[in-house]
Amino acid sequence: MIKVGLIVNPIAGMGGKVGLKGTDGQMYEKSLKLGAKPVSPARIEDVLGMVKRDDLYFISAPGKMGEDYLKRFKFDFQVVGQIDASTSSEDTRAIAEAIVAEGVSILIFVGGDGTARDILDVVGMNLPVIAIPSGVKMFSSAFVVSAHAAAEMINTFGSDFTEKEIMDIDEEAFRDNRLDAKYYGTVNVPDIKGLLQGKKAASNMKFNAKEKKKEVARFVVENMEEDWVYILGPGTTLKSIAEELGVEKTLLGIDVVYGDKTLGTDVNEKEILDFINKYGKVKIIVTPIGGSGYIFGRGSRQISSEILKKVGRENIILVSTLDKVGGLECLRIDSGDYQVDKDISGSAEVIIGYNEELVMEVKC
Amino acid sequence: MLIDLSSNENPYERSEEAIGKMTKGLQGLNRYLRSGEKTHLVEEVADYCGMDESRIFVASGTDLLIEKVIIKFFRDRKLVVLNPCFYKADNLAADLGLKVRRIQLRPPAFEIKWNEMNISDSIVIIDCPNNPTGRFLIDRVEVENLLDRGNIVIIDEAGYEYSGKTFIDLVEKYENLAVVRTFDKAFGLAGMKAGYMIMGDGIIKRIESDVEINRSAYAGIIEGLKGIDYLEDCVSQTVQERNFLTKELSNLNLKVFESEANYMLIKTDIPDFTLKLRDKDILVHDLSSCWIDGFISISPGCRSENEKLLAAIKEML
Repeated sequence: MIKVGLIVNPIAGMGGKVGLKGTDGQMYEKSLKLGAKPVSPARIEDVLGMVKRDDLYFISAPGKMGEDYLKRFKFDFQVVGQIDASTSSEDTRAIAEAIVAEGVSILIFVGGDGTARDILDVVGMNLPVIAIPSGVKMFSSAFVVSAHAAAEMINTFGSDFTEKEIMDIDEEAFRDNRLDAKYYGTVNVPDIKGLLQGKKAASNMKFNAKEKKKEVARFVVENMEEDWVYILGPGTTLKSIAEELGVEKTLLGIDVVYGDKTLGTDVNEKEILDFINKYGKVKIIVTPIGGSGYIFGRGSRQISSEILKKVGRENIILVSTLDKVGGLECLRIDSGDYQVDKDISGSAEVIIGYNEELVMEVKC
Repeated sequence: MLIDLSSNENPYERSEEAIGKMTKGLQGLNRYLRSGEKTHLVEEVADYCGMDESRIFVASGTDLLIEKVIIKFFRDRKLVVLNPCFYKADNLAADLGLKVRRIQLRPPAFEIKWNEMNISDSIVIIDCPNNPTGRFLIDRVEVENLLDRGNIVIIDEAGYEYSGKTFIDLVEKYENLAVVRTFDKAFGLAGMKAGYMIMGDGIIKRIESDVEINRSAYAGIIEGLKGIDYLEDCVSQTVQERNFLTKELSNLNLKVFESEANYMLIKTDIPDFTLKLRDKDILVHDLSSCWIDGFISISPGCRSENEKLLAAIKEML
């Protein structure tokens, strides 16, 4: 049997739908007050449900950090360490150390960039990992692209590994509209080509890119329809559109505009649904994440699968600049609802300048 | 000495005798090309490609020929190109207010679902074989579908002599087709920068057959068309070197995409691949600036150059 470690950060990703951009520090309590529900449990159950190997023996964190999910399947496992009712990054690190001490071949973890940093602190490059994303911020290229991909990786990993980066951004800065991505180290992950998302590059405001964003903004604003509400996703391209409209825009939050009026800033899933129910005619404008190409499912989880279902594919406008999107093989979606992802998949046009578009494939 | 494998050029120089003849042809530089000389050039080009003289337009580079078609036919049309695209459409399109639709090439198959895209009211530029993949990304049926839908289709056959495949016969059937070719590559005349266009009847109505080149390019083309043996040798050696590099680079575990052109596409994860080669005075075309990271276009050089390239790559592994 192959010993495999499992750690689930049960609170990773909870800040997303309620617009908190992460659960570091005190934000976990705040997300609970706002009605956030755990994301990681469903994610690990999705993955475990697709694992076909029968030669794995799990060394797991206790309770909601691993054990609870393994119990629902027929895996052999043992539990190491102890956790309190509310889990923290200290728990992640302590359990990781206990798992490493058991001599596992690989450590599977579920979480966001913050969790990845905690794991990195313990395993470094000594133990390969499989990183399953459920967080809000996904800057680390170590994460697999989806639950399907994670299962594929668990089913196929062998002795070939490749180095991938762990990145993170300062959540305080993130909430304060500053994008500060930092390199925290390197981990080894199974070398299964095509399963890993690329490194998410922070959009730099270079001169040409800035001019191109202005072009995109001018084109989008000139083509905006009256009587429609527009949901503007995060990012500098969307900020340019807001500037062209003459409204304020949070750099990293979701804002809602109607004509030249701002209806809401830094809104969460519930507030967006309220706007959709109230106004009916709603379009979403988003830019793909640089490096990985996600249009939904990373970075802006406030735009949930339910919202996408209500708005419809025909009312989604994609914007970017060629220097960012031209480097992507395809766009990706991982909203959490496979049918919604499938409906949005296929050929899509990204506005990359004034009167200029790039036809790309959206994959789920 | 710098080894330039980045520009899809012919690495084999013309003989001193051929250059001597071209130089002799420069006599009369104080004069414009005479109509008789233009007629003679068109006859020679038409003879080379086996088409009627009325369909031929010769100009200083294929970009100028493509531009002519766009300017004549842009009204109420979009411009459809692939990405990456080495025809710089941006400025002209912006000046004309022409909408540009780019289609992202996606490895590893680079397949484009032309028939599902319902392209109409467009000027479509397709290079066959495609730069940088070296492949044909459209087949005859798909070209005819685009033409049947009323699009203006411009096929760039810069690599025709290397692939041996052409759509040129379709210009007699479709009035909205133009095929452009170049003397820069297999003819070894990149320094003179000249090309020609074979036009369908609808294109001819707006762009009459003509010659817009200078006397030095005229002299080069006339001599070039007489030296078909040189051309055939160059093509044969380049294909041989391309196959050699394909095998050797694959042996070094680099991903090499099969090519029908005088260049080849590779994919590598070696960090700073292009910079490390440049440190050894070897230039290749890193496509990460306009496309996806890790994709490199290499124009095979002569054997000694290719061996130096392979030795430099081996040192990186």
